[in-house]
Amino acid sequence: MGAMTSAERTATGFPAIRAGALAIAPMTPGAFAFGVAFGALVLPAALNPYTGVLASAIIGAGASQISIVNQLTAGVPAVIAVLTAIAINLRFALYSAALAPLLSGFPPRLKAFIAFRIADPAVPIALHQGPHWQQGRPRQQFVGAIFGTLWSIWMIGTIVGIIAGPVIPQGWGVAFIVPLMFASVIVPGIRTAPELVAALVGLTAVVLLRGMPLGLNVVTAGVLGVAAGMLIPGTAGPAPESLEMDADDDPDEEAR
Amino acid sequence: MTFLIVVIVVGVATFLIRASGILLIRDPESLHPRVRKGLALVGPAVLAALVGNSLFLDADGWRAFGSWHIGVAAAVAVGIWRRNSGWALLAGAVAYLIAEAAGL
Repeated sequence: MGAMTSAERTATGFPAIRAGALAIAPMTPGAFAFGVAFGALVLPAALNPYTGVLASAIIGAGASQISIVNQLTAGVPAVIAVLTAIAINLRFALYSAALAPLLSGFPPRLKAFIAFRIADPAVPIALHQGPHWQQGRPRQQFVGAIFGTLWSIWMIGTIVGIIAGPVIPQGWGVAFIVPLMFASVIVPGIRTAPELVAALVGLTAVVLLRGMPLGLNVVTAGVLGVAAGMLIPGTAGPAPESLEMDADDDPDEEAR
Repeated sequence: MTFLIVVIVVGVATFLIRASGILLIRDPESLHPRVRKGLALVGPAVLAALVGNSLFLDADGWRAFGSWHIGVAAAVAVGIWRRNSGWALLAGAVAYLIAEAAGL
């Protein structure tokens, strides 16, 4: 991954940052929509709007944030809401490991910033296009711009959602965002038999276990889903090679 | 206050998760394949459980069939077809609004 390529990009400063922003641009409408989706839930759920903004700033993961709002408003104990959110975010460990070789040689502060802002859409693009940029400032600025741009759009979406949430008519069914967003996140990412089995078992088990106290049916169903998926032969998840194959956009030619 | 505490705890935990590979693992190939597979399955399993919990159940038991199910079905279909979360989200929202307008 860290190998030099024959056509390496050497631009620094604005051209590199602009190229990074353009590389992630196709993903920004989705990030904005998810930000709005989370923000719109905050005030109708009688939660503090500033804490809502803080959530997007320090968690920065829509699925787990919506899960927190959903569970807290349903009366689920905070510890269960925390465990569920952490479970949802465990996938970031794989993304982080996949990014490690690309970020080798980056300053610690930039590594920490990128680690802080790891998100599903940005990782494949960074892994696919980042190696085309020369080690050092060109690559650091290009990759940093990918993650920084997506995070900025996500934050704007969150603030718009928080402001617009209370004026969205009840009849629009804001609560519908919860299953819609989770389904939209999960389905495009299922590519292997173990992942499919894990999802189907999780979906079925949560309904069958609906009588469990404290909202434990969600975490229990998740554990059963993982266990079932482990029984199915084959790999799962974003192995570094597959992440690189997922992003099929060519790097920005004019930024060479 | 509960919301704030939960946000801070999850925020710190999520940062540690995100930083783990970059700062500690360094090489994803060094993870045992079963550990990597297990981690990869957590997302699909838990997210699917959350879909089922909110789509099929409500405070009174089962959620009656209607616009929610139609919207999610559209999102699933487009998600399989386009392999893109944004398109799936858009399709689900449009299908939901149409179903609502039709009185479902």
